[in-house]
This record gives sequence, structure tokens and C-alpha cells, in this order.
Amino acid sequence: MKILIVSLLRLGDLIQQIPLIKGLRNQYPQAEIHILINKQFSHSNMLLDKLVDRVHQFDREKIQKGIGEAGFNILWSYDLVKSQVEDLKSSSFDIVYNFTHTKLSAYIIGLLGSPVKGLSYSNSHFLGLDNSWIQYFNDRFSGTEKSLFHYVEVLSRALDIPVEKSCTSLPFSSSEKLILMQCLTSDSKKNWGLKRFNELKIEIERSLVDYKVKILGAYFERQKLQEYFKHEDLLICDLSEAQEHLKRARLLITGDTSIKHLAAQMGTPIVELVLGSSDFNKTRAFTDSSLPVKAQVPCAPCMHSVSCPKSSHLCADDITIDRAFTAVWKVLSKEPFLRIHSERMLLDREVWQQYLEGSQKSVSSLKLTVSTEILTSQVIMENTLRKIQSALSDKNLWNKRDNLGVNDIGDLIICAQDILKSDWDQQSGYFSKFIEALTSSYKSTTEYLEKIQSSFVEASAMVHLRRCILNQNSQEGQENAKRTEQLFAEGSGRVGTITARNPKDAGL
Amino acid sequence: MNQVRFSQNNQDFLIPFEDEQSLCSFTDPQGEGLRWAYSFGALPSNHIVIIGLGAGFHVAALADIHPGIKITVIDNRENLIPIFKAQFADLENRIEVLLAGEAKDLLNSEAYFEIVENRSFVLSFFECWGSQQDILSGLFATATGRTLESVRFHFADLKMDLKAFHVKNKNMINIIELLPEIDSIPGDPESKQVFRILGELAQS
Repeated sequence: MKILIVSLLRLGDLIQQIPLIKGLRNQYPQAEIHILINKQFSHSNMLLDKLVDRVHQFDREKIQKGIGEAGFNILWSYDLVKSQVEDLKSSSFDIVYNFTHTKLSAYIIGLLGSPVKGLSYSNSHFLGLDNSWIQYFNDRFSGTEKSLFHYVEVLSRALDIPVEKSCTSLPFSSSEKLILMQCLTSDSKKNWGLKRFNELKIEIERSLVDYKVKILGAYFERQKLQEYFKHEDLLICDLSEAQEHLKRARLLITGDTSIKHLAAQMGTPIVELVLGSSDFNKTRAFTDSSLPVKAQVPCAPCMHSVSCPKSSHLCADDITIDRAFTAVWKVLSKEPFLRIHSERMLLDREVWQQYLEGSQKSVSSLKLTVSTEILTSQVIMENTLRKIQSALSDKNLWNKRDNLGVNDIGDLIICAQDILKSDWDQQSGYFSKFIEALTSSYKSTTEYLEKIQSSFVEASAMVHLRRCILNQNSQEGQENAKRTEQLFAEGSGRVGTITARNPKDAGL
Repeated sequence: MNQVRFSQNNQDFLIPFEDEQSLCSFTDPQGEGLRWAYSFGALPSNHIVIIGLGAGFHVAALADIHPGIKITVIDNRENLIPIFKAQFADLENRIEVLLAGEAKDLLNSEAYFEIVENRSFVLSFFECWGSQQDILSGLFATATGRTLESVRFHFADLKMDLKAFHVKNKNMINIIELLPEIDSIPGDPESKQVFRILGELAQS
């Protein structure tokens, strides 16, 4: 069997995907596995040793040069792409896995003529979007939308590849007590700042006298690092040398970098500084041995590839040296790593998982401590559904579909505003399709109303599923539910802030 | 067209002048040619087209550094050719010199079919363009397939008929400008998909 993996993203993404490649290798131990990666990351081949049989390189930079520079023949890049596609096609792959999920990868894969798992493009259509996990990936990973699942988890489910998280394999027998810092990231918004890293280094070496802190960096980062760190403290190295350093380190302190993902693969414990566009839920180190220190500012996580509009770097300021040092101390003193998911998040993950897989089990294996917060969120969701249902059952709305005005959908807009203003659906996103449908343009008003209706049906199904899981989860939960509903009825408590509003006040 | 005249330098080389301006370095034409030829590093095609012959020192340098490549030189000044042939007699079988007064001459030449087929890489030695900038830049765009007429030649090679299309920049057409046109004309779906790939790469 011949398999092709298409991974045309950045180095960090490729390293993150290693559990998926391992999973695929475990699934098909006898298969001939090829991978297509960007040529600029060919130095990462050593990470793929024993996992894949052949690495194909996509020379993106050369093709782009051919497109952009005047001296190149207008069809020069065309020929280059064509010959690369022909080369891949000649391998006659039995299946192609698209780990990339971009239009570019879909177009390339569509030309290979092999069966595909993931996104592809053929006969003027994108294929693969009927997979509910791919849809989830599409909805949640293309912008700042929140996700309940990690990047690797979503791809694993979308592509049917079982994955395992790496385990910590600390060199505790070694006498060397080494802590590594990876100070610079690929995006200045995700940098904590060299000055802060230097202060943290001083604090660690002052308080933990038997530990040595060294600074990891690539060759092109040397000059910048030397502004704050002594020459002898720097470990300027390539990826394979970094791998060796990580093997003997007791801890890595890092922002959102490819080195973070490499450390996760090596089993090195990590203190992860989560700031800028770095989204912990989506792309944290895929290991249980990572302790996050998150910036608690409203603008985080922000958009990728957009510079920070704030006058100061709020998220970096929010992570103090004390907070970072406390995390370092917790990891070194082997305090158990905190659970990543809250009870509510566990519940929402279970709901989405069942919904996306279409299983909708009658009994959930999830064991929860049902808190008032969870029950409150449930009641808010059910109330919101009732309001949307009531607005959608207005016959006038459907009768007026040829001449629909903003006032006609005032009740729906109010519901959307309430959802957006509060934070109860931000993470779970049960109503995100409803908001999207309400604020999108469609060819006809009928299509518009139908999209809203179908998004409502989807939200209803999930909220109902959530209720079932809650009810089944504990008797105590049911009693709590009654209590909370009572609170609603009395108009008191936090949820009581939602009061009736005039639809005429609604504005998009 | 202005008259080109020649003057001998202290190394006994004939250096061409146009409008009192030399078409290469008077004192060190060889060094200038070598610096130009080395500036490109590895070349992306086995067929190189050079727009502008001048005194030809840059052509000789490129031929010397890349012995395996085929070189075609295009210029519109006929009287440069015999001097080049006399000064670089050893390159006679190596370098093809094409005289083209305008784009039409180039498009009608046999060499142009080779340029289209080889997707030849085009270089220019601006120092030797003298007062012929308009004509030579037009020849440059034609040689790279970036004028209305030459684009049609290239796409005919792909069996795509770009008879009627509109672009803003008619002198240095970029492949990106053509993508909407390519999508709307009949043609091999696989070829069209390769152009979609180029469109994505151009955006990123």
C-alpha cells in the first residue's frame, strides 16, 4: 500500500503533526508512506526518520519567484508545478491524506487522481467538506473562533488516525540540571520579550542555585539574543542539535514555537507562555506535561498575521516574572499538571464529539461534577432556543420573505446580540452557525431564512444532547437543574440580567 | 535610430557609444561583464535570452561561467553584431544573435518557438541599452511572454485560446492577471487546476 501525506504548512505545524504520522505508521506498518513538505523545511527530515519512506519537497519559494520576477517566462512556474504533480502522480498512491487543509493543498491533491482523506478539489468542487470533523476544522481553525478540540485531535478524528500523546521521559538520573528557554517566536506578538526572559533566568538561577539556564536560538537569532544574554549562555543550534539539548533538559520555557512542539515530542516538560495569537486550546503542546501561563486580557488570542494595534503589549505585560517563576517551580517540584479541560469544557467536548460523529449515545460515559455554572449555561441556552423558535414560528416572517426588513428579524437579532455580548457560547459555539447565518448574505430571502432555520435545528440538537448528558450524569444534576430553573422563574441570579427587549431596538 | 560608433580602449577593445554614452565600461568591460554574469548565481533554465548585445563582454562572461547553457542575444542595432563577432570569434558557434527591430520580428522568428518551448529565462544588461530602452523593454516583455501577443503564443502551446482577454498592464502581464480569463475559456481542466495552484501561491 502506498500512502501520501500532504503537509504544506510551517515547521511548527509539521512537528505538531508527528503524532498523526506516527498514528498512520502504526495503522499501516507495512505501507510505503511518502510525505510532501515545503522544501524550506527539508532540514526537518530527521524528525521523519523511520516514520516515512520518502520525503517529496515542494519548492514553494522557487515557484513564487518564477511568478513574481520579470525575467522568468510566464509559464515557467506552471511547468515547475506540472512536473511536480506528474512526479507525484507517477507514484500511484492508494490514498492521500491532506494534513494541510488549504486551497493550495486541495488543488494539488485533486490532480493526483488518488482516493483522498481530507480536503481536495476536483471537477470544480471542494470535496471532503461533508466530513463533520473537517467542517468543524474549517469553521474553527481559519480565524479566531474558539475550539474545544486541539488541532491534532480534530485532524485525528477527521482523518481516522488514532493518536497518542507523548509521555514525559525526563533525564532525572542525570546530574545536570538544565533549563532551556526558547525566547523568540516567529511572530513578535507572541514574544514575551528578551528582557523578561533575562529577568526570569536571573530569578531561577538565584532561587534554584543548582540549576543552569541556557538560551536556545537559531543561527539568525544570535545577534538579537546577544543583546540580553552572555555568549556562554547561548545554545545556537539547528533543529537536530536542539533535539539533543531538549533530551537532556529538565524543562523548556517557551512561547508558541516549533521548539515547543519538538519538546512535546521529546517528552520534555514545558512551561508554555500563551500570548498574542497563540491559542492554547488549539495549538498548545500536544502533551500532558505542559503547564500554561496564559495572558488574561480580552484581546487574546488575537488574529494571526495582523500586527498588535495596542499601544503596549498587554498580553506580555499580563504575564509577570512571578507568574512564570511559579509555573517553573511547580513543574520542577513535580506538582501534578493541572487538567487542561474544565468540567464545562469536558461536557461541551462530549456533546460536540457525539454530535459530529452522529453517534448521539443514549448513555454517556462522561463523569462530571455538575456545577451551578454548567446548569446555568444550560438554562440560558434553552431559553435562547425558545426565543429563536418563537421568532422563527412567526408566520409573518415567512410570508414576508420577498420583502424582509431588519424590523422583521428584530427578535432574532436581539437573540444574536445576547449571545455575542455574553460569553456563555464563545467556547462551545453551539450558536455560532446561527450568528453566521443571521449576519451573512444569501441569494434569496428564502435561502436566508432556511439557513437560520437549519442552524437553529443544529443548535437545538446539541443543546438537547447536552441536557440528556447532564441529566444522565447525575441525579444531583437534575435537582440542580430544577433549582436553577426556579431561579430563572424568579428572575433573580446572574441569568436574570436577560430581560425582555423591544425588537425595534435591534440593529445589525 | 541613433548612430552607434566605436572607440578603442587601452586594452585594444572596441567599445560602442550611442548618444555619446558608452554601452559598457570603457576601462574595464571584462570585469563589468563578469560581475554582471556572477550576480545571477545558478540559472533556472538551460536556455538564456539576453536582451541587449552592446559590446558583448557580459555575453562572453555568461558563456564562460555557464558552459552548458544555450544563449540567444537579441538587439535591434545591426552594427553591433559584426564587432561582437570579430571581438569574440571563439563564441561564433556558441551564441545566437538575433536582430529584432520590434516585437513582431521576434514573434515571427524560429528562435521564438524555442523560447516558448524552453520557457527560456530572460536577462537584460541595462548598461548596454543606451537610447533603445523602449524597444528593448518591449522585446524583454515579448521574450518572457508578458505582452498580449506573446501570451497568446504561450497559451496556444497549452492548447488554450486566449483570443480575447483584457488586462490592465499590457506591457508586463503577470500570470495573476490572467487567472480569471483562464478560468473562463475552454481548456484542459488539469492545466486550469495548475493555474489555480499558482494563484494560491501568488497570494501567500
